[in-house]
Amino acid sequence: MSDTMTGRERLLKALKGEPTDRPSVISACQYATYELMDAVGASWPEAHRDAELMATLSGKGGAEVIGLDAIRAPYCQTIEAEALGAKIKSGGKTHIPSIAEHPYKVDDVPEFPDDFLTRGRVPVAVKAVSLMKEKYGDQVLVMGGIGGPFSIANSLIGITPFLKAMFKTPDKIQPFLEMGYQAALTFGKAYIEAGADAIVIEDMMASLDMISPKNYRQLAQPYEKKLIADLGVPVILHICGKLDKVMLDIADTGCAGISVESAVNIPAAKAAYKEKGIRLPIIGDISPSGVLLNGTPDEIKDAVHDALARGVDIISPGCAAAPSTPLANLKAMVEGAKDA
Amino acid sequence: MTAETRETKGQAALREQLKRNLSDAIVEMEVEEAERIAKEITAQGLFQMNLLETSVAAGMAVASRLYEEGEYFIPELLSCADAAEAATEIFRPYMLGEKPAPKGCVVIGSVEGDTHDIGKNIVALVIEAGGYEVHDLGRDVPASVFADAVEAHHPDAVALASLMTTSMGHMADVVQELTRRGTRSSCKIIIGGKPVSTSFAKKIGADYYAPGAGEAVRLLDDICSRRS
Ligand SMILES: [Zn+2]
Repeated sequence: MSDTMTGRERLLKALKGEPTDRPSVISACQYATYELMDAVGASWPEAHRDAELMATLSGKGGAEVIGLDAIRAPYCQTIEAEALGAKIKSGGKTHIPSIAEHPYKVDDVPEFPDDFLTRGRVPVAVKAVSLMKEKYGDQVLVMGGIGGPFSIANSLIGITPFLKAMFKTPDKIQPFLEMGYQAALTFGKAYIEAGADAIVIEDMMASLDMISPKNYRQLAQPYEKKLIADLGVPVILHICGKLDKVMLDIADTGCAGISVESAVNIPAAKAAYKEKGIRLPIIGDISPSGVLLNGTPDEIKDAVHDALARGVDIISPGCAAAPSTPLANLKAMVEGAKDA
Repeated sequence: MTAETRETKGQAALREQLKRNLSDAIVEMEVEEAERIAKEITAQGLFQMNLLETSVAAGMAVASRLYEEGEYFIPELLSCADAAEAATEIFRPYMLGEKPAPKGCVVIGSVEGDTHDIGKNIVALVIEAGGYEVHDLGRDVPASVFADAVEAHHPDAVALASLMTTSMGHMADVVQELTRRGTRSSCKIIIGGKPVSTSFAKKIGADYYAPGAGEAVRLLDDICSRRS
């Protein structure tokens, strides 16, 4: 059966829980792979710092080559930290950039810079979104990626000092959470100004692999919720790992969709949502380190069908795609949705 | 009469009590209390080398079990480690020359591309508490640095961590670098971290996958007992 909706229409309807011609497929987190870079002629590390190349890799790669219903930039979660003073180490051709040195110590009092939007790779990602909107905006949803306030705050001082301070002197981390929120909001608003239809918040450090449900509720969720309200466009919230104990809290953030990994018990979450009258679509949960990386296209189609049967509303890798993922496997996610 | 030679029943009982209290203080994340109990132990002349295992390491073992059971999270575990470290600091002057030989030697690090070292740090702590000599290479470690460390320390095992799907590919680089330098068969390679699995270990030619710190220690105990 051939598609009768554009990816944009399909995803917007899927996010609202309305019927679609077939299940929608996106990649909530990054989907640039080596084969995709070869296919479109735009590669890391250049694509991290060049808006045209970023728009080609994410836009052409996502919309034309893979056939996703949404395209997004950028690829890593270090842009906010870099703009706020972190030293960055290039990941070269094969990997994403990483933080070599955190800009702050726990006892510092950070100050949000007025010129945030001109710093580091922030303008590159914003420009890439505007280029993608121009070229693909009528066909697919264009999304800008930002870190969650909790995760940005972590990246400012480092995970270990952050988590220790969170436990012992929680007052000291408040200014960093505030700064994370400001950075995320400023970045997100700039994407929207540049034409983004939606925002993806990746809050990987707010995972229950890291912190307790209580800490999530006190220190991560309120900032996510405020950020989502202030952005004012549909927001997909991605958090890694097990989330079963906070799936209702996540729904309460007001996000348009929650992107999860296979560690989450999706049928249980769907049942809990139904009972409370919550209509939040669940996005996931094709394993990026399992079947998507190592499986055959047929196994991936089976995984898509299985995810749909378990109640997944919108198909996506459960987290960032590994860069060595075969292109045929990414395409197989779309094929799996077409014959579902 | 000296404390070492003729210990009264009362002293032995007191040591037992303090040993349990210290272990509990570590599990309960009470840094000052752990320090206070350790000071009481040394002030009373009750320190014995085996307290490191039966009290400090035992407390950390309980903490890491609570973590694996989802009762504790990483901040809790870090605080337990702080309490364990505070007690060990007090004991350190009394430990001289007495330290038992380590059960084995481990080189550990987060692979290149991954600057998240939290899980690796936890595993390193638990392995060290479990009686191993640990060489922690830190985070974002290139394959060549792992290979250099293998040549320098002749470890029984190399433990590789990655928290990110975007960096786990670098684990394969380490395996290849050891193979290239001819040291691959001199040690076992254990991988761990959220995105990896037994099948991924197999795929890249590593020996084992450890889902958590406790499992890493069990694997090491197994590896080192079969050595020689
Ligand atoms: Zn994730």
